[in-house]
Amino acid sequence: MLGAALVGCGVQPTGVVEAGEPASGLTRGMRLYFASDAGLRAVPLLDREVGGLDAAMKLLAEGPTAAERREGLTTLLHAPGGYTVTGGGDRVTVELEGPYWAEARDQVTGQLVCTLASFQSVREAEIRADDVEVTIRPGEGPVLGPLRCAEYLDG
Amino acid sequence: MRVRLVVTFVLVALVSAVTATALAYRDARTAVLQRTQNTAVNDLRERVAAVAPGLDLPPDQQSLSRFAAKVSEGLGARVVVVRHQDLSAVSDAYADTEGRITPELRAAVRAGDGARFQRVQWRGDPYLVVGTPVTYADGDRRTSGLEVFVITDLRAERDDTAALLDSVRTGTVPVVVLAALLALLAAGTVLRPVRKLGRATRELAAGDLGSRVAVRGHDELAELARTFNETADALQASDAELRAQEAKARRFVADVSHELRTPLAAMTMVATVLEEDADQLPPDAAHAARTVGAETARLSRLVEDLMEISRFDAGAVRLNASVTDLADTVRASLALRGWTDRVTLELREDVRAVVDRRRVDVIVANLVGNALRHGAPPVTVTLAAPGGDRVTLEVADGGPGLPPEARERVFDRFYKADAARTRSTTGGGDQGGGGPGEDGSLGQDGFGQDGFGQGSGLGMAIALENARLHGGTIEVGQRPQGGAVFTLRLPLRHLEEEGDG
Repeated sequence: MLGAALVGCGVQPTGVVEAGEPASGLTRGMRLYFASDAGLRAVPLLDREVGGLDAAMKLLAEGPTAAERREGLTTLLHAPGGYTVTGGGDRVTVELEGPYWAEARDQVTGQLVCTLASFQSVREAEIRADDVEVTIRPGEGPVLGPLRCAEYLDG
Repeated sequence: MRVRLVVTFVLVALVSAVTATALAYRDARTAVLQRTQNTAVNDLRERVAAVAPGLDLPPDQQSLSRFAAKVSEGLGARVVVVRHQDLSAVSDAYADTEGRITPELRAAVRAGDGARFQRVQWRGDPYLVVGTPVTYADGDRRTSGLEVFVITDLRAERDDTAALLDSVRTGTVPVVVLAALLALLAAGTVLRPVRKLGRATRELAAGDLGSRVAVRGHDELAELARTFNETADALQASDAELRAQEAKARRFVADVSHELRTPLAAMTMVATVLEEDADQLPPDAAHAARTVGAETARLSRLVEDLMEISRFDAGAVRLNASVTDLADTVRASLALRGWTDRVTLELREDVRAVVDRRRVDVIVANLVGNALRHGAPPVTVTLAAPGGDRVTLEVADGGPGLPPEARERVFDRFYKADAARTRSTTGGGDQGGGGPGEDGSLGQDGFGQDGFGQGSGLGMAIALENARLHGGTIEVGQRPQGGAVFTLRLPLRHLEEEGDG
């Protein structure tokens, strides 16, 4: 009897069991990248009207929504004085009037690079975001780039 | 009974313990696994939701690897496998995932639109594999072609449930021991009254009609004890009544016999006078006188025998024992009745025993008288002492012997094996030896003075009672060549001198 009870012991293999909803979270289209303790996090711009690449800078400077803040997201980018963003093919160039305030490896640079790459890949249907190269040309100081988003995601 | 009770208790305890254990174990294991599975699925979902927004579809190998690493990072470095069409990436490049992510799970995840999991056994250890397609966050339910699998080690869960089982198993032993102790206790309380009842019943069966049991409580056993007591009461009452009646009957017989004695003595005297004068009477009157004489003598003998047997019944007999030469006693007994030349004697001389000489005389007279009366010559009396402490006296005859049913009843009172034949012999007056007046007085020997006429029907019973009084027996048997053999066995020295009738 004890033996019969012990037959069903241990963790037995099972067949395939349903476990509810699938995982979700993939995004399409333009994404904003915000900073967090765990590195860059993408936030989809679901149905917000966005103009050109310039708008990306503004949206980044506005920062995450209240709900996103609660998840630990923040922005390190503050609206720079004067800038021009131009894009063509897989290249995007940011021209600043003043100096650039951060280093190439900083998270804030990643925010800028990845968001611009995402915007550019949506504008140019054939371009993958990973392939976009961003160059930052400040009014003073050395040129940064070309930079790729992937460099900031491996952290 | 005790063993059965203990075994039953232990079995019941075992069954309950094992059943409870099995149920508890199953529930605990189910709960533990359920929680682990739910946690694994939810963790994966959360983690994917956090990481997926940054993934561009379709991915290249690099971004897929990055995705897998990031998902794994948030799940405690579990092995994560990500697939997108032909591309696949594993968070731990050294992990062997093929054995754990079964084709059926892969197919189910690809075909279905929900998360799936499967527990597998891989290299002797259990693993939980959760797989799910990843959908877009914008409410589009179409799957993206991206699939994520995470492999969770279940060894901790297995060890936890095994530990639970171990602790329960070690707990079962004291439970069973406790059950055995309880069973012994219960057996004691249940069986003690039963044993008492059994003892009382045995005492009752052994003749102690006063045996009773104490009635305690109101259960079935108490009811049984009460019934037993009532039965014993009824038995005792009817036994006492029977004894009283029997005693009354015995006393009546004794009284009647005693009352008959005096008139009989007078009648005997008259009959004797009449018989003596019979020669001078006319033939008819002479015959009548002789008949009256014979019947009066028979009646006297019957009354004497009745009184003797009454004394035995009343327990009023006493053994008056002394050292006696048995051969002498036998010869004297036969000579007294005039049977010496009708009987062949084979007597061992110098056999001395402590016996009541008068009672031995009665036994001899009855046995030999019976043989002469019912058997046929030659009648043989053999005295022997085969053992050191016993003596046997055999009385054998040459007659047809006794049928088996008569042998059993020959010592019963008033039993006559062949009444018709004996009466006709008596009627013929075929008597030898002593005449009626030879030992005229009515002796106490319980045997008629005229030798072997019609017996009283009590002779053999009296002989047996006398033998028993000596601690001896009388057995009846059959000689090989026919004829009955009565064997008296007496101890040479009977220690219980007091009569035990």
